[in-house]
Amino acid sequence: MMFEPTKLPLPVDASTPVAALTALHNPKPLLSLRQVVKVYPTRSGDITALKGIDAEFYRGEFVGIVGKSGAGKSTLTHMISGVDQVTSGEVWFEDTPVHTLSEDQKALWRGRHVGVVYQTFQLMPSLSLLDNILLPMEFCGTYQRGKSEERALELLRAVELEDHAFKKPSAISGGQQQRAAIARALANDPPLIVADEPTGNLDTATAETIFSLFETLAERGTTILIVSHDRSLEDRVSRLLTITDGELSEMRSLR
Amino acid sequence: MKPWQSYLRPSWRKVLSDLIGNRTRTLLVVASIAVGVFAVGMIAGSYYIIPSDMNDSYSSANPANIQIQTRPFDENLIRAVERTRGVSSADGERTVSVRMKTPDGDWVSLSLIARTQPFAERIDLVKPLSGAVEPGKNELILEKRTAEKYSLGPGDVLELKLEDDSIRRMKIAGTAQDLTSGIGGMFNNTKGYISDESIEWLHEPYYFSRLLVRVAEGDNDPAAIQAVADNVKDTLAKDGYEIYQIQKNPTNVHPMESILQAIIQVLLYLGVLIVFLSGSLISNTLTALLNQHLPQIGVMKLVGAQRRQIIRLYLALILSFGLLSLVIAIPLGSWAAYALSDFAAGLINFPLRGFRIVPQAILIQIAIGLFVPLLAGIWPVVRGAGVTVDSAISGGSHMQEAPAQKSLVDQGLGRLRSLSRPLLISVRNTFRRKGRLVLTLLTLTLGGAIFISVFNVQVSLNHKIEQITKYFSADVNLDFNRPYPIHQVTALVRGVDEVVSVEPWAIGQANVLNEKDEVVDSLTLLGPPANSPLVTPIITEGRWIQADDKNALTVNEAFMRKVPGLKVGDTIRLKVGTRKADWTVVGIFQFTGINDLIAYSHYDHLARTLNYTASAAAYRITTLDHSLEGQTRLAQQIDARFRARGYDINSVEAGATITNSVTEYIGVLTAFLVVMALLTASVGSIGMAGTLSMNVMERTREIGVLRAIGAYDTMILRLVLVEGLLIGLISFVLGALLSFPITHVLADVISMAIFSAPAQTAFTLQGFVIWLGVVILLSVGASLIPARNASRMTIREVLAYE
Ligand SMILES: Nc1ncnc2c1ncn2[C@@H]1O[C@H](COP(=O)(O)OP(=O)(O)O)[C@@H](O)[C@H]1O
Ligand SMILES: [Mg+2]
Repeated sequence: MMFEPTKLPLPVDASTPVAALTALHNPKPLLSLRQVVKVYPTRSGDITALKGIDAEFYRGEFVGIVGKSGAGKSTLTHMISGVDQVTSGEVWFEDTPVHTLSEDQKALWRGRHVGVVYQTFQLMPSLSLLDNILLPMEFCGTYQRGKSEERALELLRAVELEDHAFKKPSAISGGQQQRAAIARALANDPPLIVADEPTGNLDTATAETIFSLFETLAERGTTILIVSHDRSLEDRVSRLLTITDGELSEMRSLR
Repeated sequence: MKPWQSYLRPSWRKVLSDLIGNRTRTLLVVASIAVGVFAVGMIAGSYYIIPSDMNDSYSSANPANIQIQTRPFDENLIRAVERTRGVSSADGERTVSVRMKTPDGDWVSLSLIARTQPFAERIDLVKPLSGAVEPGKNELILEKRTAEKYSLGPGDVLELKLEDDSIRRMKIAGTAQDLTSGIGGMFNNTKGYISDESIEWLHEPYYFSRLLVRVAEGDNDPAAIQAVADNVKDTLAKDGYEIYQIQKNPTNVHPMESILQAIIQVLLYLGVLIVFLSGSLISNTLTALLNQHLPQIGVMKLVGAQRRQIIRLYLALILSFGLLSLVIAIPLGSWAAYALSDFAAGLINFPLRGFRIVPQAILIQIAIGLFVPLLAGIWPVVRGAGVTVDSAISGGSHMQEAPAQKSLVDQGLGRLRSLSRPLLISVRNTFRRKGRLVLTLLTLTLGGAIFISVFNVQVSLNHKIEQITKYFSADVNLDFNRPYPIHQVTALVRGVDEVVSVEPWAIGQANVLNEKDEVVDSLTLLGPPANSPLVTPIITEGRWIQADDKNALTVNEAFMRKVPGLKVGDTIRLKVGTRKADWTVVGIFQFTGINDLIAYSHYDHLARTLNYTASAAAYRITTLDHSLEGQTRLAQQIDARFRARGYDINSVEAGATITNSVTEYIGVLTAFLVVMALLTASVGSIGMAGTLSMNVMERTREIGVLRAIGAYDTMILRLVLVEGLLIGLISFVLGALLSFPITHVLADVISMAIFSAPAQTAFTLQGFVIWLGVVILLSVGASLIPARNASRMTIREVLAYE
């Protein structure tokens, strides 16, 4: 399967500079975490899943975070995407204090600024792929009849699913579903994509195409944050961090 | 892009795909809403149509405000009454009883009603239907029901047998509908109208016996009518006329209105109940739907949906369910309202203004069809929309569930170790979703209770009729226009085969006098032989008449209303024939449904008082065959026998005719109720089908696992069937228990309306047995589809199911 990431419909201004250069020329981080702690209270005692995370992520970075199962990877993505509330600490997205937003505010902010990709795809089962991509636009108020459909079809074309636009998720393969999920994550052209084990349910060949898709996106200035327990991620990312028992440490960076 | 899709926003397409994607569920919800809306439409529609059309037709018929029964009078009295203060018009009415030969060759009695006023402007107008409006001399206008019953119409010639047995031929000039007869008109409906010029041609003296009066002012005001009635009484008294009976009626209220209102009221209660039940079903289904949709809600929030957007989405789905059900239920409800009204109109004899849409009823339907689902759904929707992305997507794998409190049921089940494993699974499944189970049981239980009650109510009402027949248990009633010696009549009657016994009865009209010996009321005195087996009285106070009684009476309960405070031992002053005397009340008997005064004495004493010597004008006969057909046959033989010998016969009637029409009327009433019972039952079955398919749907995975470990199809089928049967049987037991109080209430309300007396509740096994059968069929039927679906799923499908 030949995949041509150049077809991705992205804003022109972000299409040329290399990710590293962007980061160097724009020292203000896109996302910064300050002393983020997450405690899950359970009956058998509190579980501290994140133990004061400090981190900064810049525009165009392709970040990989690896760690063993139970290390706190998913929890970290939840804190970043605002899907769950931090116990203490701050999450800043440019000038937005995400940790202070209400549920609804977070939903709207996330819909516009963060594309979230899950291991289990999480597509709406009753909607066609096209509608799955249109739905975020409608929820975030960016939907325009006709124009949005065109953009959604372009996104589907970019992930080579144009022919399946009117199929339900259940009618296509896992790899195709994950590509549709990525297309959906791009619906509102967010500056940040957070992916939690995006290839966990896919075979190696399919996983390859997903990774090259992320690579292309990163080259065009979208910040990509992938967490995985799969170490094969290491070679592809521009920056690598590890998480162990809720503590984050830098492994390798371009900077 | 598909053309239809481009018109809708993506979120609307989600609503649409939820609607058509799960058709079984949509059907279930829509049906749950539709039954309630349908029932309300039917009842509300007829609530508006029946009384309005009934009262309209009544008040447009120039109805008599005052009707007085008195001794024969002529035009002079009519003129005198017309001149009375407050009277706008008056007329005399005469009913000539003849017998007519039906097209089948039978002789049936026919009442011919003669009046003086021209038809177009008379009191108690009749509505011309076909042919002439006014009968010419020696012609008649036949009343609608008689015309319809015997397929007679204008131009047909009727052969009539007069009181003196001579034959007359009368042409039917036209047909018309009686618009003003109350409940009496329901039972005595073989009648026609003639000109007063025809009375003498029918070998009858020219006189009138009923006075009809319309008041000049305040014809809708009972007090004003009462005032005029007092004036008219004075006028009559001045000319020496005694009042046998007086009836007062405002123009704008049909005499049958109160009974109908009461029936519709009962239906209305049932309708509200059905709406309530359908509401609980809807909430059941919607709760399940929202639970099932939690992951989707999580996804929508993930991609930017805010709470209110999700709430809006699901409320739109719920409203769509409502709208779909309105599309079905409004036309059906309107149609049913009209059908019900038509039924009532035929029963009470008034014309309907034609099919029409009742805007009020439709507004109520719309309100119910949209509000009830919204109300039922708002809580699950708001709660569902509050789910966090995290918990929705992780499917609660991290959710901290409260430690399962072992309920009594669970503990009980724990002891049922001896049951087979699969059966144990069924039983546990039944009780798994307790809220849902309770709602399903509630609907089925109430539905069943009402269903069973309807049968009991019918039996209770028939019981009431039976009580009436206890006073009329003769098979043939033979009445002469004058007394004949008992030994002669008895000998002749006994000459007829199949006659078992003959009793002479003394029957007479009497007047009730006040202290000044003025007539205040009239009553019927009945004198069966003491210890007559033909009367089985229901004594409420005192005792029945005995052979050695003199001037003693057992009176009906109507006396209690006319003479408040009357008790056993009191005396009443009566004028019987020409004799004035004090009579002692020795007992009070129950005879519901009659407001006229009736009192029993015994033959010997009453005959003496009436100056009969070993003779009687009324004879009560018992025969071997008690069927209406048998009675009629014997009545005809007896009739022929006596007429051939020149006896002056008033009437020979089969005993069952009296009760038959009442029974029919009650049959009609219960038909209304059965319709409602079926509606509630269908709400129950929809609920059951819904619950079972929801239970199965939620357990798809478990069923897959069962199959994976080797459960074969029939085993899974049986699992679901047992679950259905269990729910059905529990609801049956509860419904059967609940039917007792419901029967009491329902029977009382209806009995009060018809007989103005509470019912004596009776129970019949019939309703219980039928409902048990229905419940079993329902349970099996409602489990079959989900069971089949479940057993058909392949393991792969089941495990892929989310
Ligand atoms: N909702 C929750 N409630 C309780 N404990 C949780 C919850 N989510 C995660 N945890 C715990 O927090 C720790 C980190 O979990 P997670 O972030 O899912 O790890 P990973 O994604 O790296 O496998 C684990 O010990 C896990 O059991
Ligand atoms: Mg994880």
